[in-house]
Amino acid sequence: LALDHLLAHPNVAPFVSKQLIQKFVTSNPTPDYVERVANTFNKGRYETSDGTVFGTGERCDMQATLAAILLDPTARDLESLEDENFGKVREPIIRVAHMMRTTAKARDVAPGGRLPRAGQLRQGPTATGEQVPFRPYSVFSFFRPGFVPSGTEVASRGDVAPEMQVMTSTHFIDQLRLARHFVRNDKFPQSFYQLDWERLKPLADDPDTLVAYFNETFAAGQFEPATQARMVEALRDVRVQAREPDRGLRQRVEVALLMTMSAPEFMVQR
Amino acid sequence: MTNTIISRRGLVAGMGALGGLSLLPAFAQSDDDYKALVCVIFHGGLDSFECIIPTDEQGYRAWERHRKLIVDQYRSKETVSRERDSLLPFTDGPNGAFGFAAELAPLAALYKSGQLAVVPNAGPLEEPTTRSLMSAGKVRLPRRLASHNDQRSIWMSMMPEGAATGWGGRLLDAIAEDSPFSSISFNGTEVFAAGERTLPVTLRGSRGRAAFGVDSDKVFGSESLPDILTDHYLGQDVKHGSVLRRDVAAAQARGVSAILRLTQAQRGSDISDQVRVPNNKLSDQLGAVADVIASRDALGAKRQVFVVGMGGFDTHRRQAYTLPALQSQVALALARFQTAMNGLGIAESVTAFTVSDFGRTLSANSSGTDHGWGGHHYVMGGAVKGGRVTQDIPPLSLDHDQALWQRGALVPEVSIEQYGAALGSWFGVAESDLRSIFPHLGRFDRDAVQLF
Repeated sequence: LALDHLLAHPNVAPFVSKQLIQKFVTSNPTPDYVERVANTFNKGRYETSDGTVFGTGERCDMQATLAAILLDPTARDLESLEDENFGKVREPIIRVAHMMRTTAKARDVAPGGRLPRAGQLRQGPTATGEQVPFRPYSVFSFFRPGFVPSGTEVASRGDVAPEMQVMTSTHFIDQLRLARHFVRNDKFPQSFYQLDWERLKPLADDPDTLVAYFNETFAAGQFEPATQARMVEALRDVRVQAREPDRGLRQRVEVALLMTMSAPEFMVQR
Repeated sequence: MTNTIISRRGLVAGMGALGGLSLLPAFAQSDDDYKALVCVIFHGGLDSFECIIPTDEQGYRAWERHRKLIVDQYRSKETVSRERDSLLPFTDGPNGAFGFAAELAPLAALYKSGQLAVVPNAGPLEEPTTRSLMSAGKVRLPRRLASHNDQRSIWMSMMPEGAATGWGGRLLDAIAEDSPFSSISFNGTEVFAAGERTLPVTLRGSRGRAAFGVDSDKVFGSESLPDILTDHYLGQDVKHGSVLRRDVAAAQARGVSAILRLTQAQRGSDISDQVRVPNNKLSDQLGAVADVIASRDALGAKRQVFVVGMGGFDTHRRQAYTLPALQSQVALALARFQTAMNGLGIAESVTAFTVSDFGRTLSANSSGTDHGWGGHHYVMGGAVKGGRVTQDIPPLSLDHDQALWQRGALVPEVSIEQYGAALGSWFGVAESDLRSIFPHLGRFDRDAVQLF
């Protein structure tokens, strides 16, 4: 059958492995990294140094493949941070999801036993911008794995940055609006997301604390010192009035969130 | 490109921009000096055989025969009429008489008034190609024919997917236009608009809105927050030890400043109201183009390339129910744009031209058509030698040398090199530069496509 023939092609393993690596770890993996993952894809089984086994041993096993990707030294070792070419741009939807997860109330997934209506993300504030959930512009999804952004350092090295295909000029503006909307509107959609104000409010009292919190939860502590300093300065400029503290504190969270969303340290995952 | 340090005040006042580029001119430039190319992309592969249809008896019967199942849908009366008397005749040549589909009436009017020319059967070619040459194995073919992403990429960059620059951007490189607003796409990221030195401003949608805080005197009661936020978006004083972070930072800085300037330009112009119509995304984008053209003095660009586009043309199924509405939008948007350009007195300086992944098969499948190769295109503007076809429209048959025997997709007669060089030459690019932007130009008859 046609699909069996296609799947049997020897290029399937590196083709799939490379794109998965690009989605999870780094846009321009070394051939060795791709080969290690491709071998696991074909074997269907991954064993860690302490003997944990992933996968059933059947070719194409995704659990084994993902283990090979995420547990590879490239993905785990701090040495990778010394490689300027390591890392990948986080696509807009991932960043929005990250923002929602980090700032939302911990709660049951489905109040009343029903799944959250993720389809609602196709409308409303998340429906603006370049990457609307569930609405790619074509059958090629939102961006191509081989995209080369013009006039960039990445391009001059002959490398790719797929996610940059959806990072139009407007997208940088739109994401700020989205961040503001989430903080100001508390619940969007009602059944899907609710801002955890109780948790965030005390952090907003002290600019240094709030910045440190966002640094850790969004950028794995990788904010540059200049970025941190500027964020703290910005938050200090938002005055909190004694008679109506909530207002100023919420504005602080808004500013901190939109500065985080527009920080290259968050937009690029390393 | 370098990140020059600019202050928010400087940004808002419109002086200077990233990359150390042009400041506002001391006085308005003469319009003789200004030229704009507007690239209109139809995503999916527009079926030329439904835009331009034979009107003579024999030709129409052939068209009917090859497309019986689609014609049946038209005859079901649940959609527009495609009867012979509904067509708008516009040309009579050696291969018969042809007319526009009824919903393209605005384009027919532009044709008749000499503002629009038809370029028949254009597409990617390695060298002049016919079916006999192909059967004899005597000709090099473009790679990855009938693949959407690769063909669209070849149309716009002369290479299959993966190119970092397109010929629109390279034309600007050659002219050494250094305004940051020389290249603007309203249809998202399009490789056409990017050059080696020309970096496009990419917008999705037509209305710009400045980044939060950049265009305000105060944010949350603080007068310094606008400056702090702007510095943050522009990445002032931050050094990243990561290639991607540096690239993302530069893209954000460029995007934020460009959108601010464009928003200001749009506020100063209401030309777009004359172009936009409801539920017509192409007209929205062309309206935005009109606003920018109206603001060209303030933005300081003498040469501009715009990219606009719309999708939905990959009509494998239910073509009779989907295509006419799209065509109608195209025709209306283009016509209103041309009217606006005439109103601005700038029509001779603005040329719009169409591009698509490919044309489609002459023979229908059960309710639509499939990927082809050559397709017919339009070039529109005050400088265009309109009211004519640049080559003979090929006959509708499976039996001639510019048709593939498999279902009648057209083997292009006009190459992208010839198309692009004719446009580039008008744009002011030197012949030697055109030869490096279109490396295979020498394989074709350079003067075969006369547009101006």
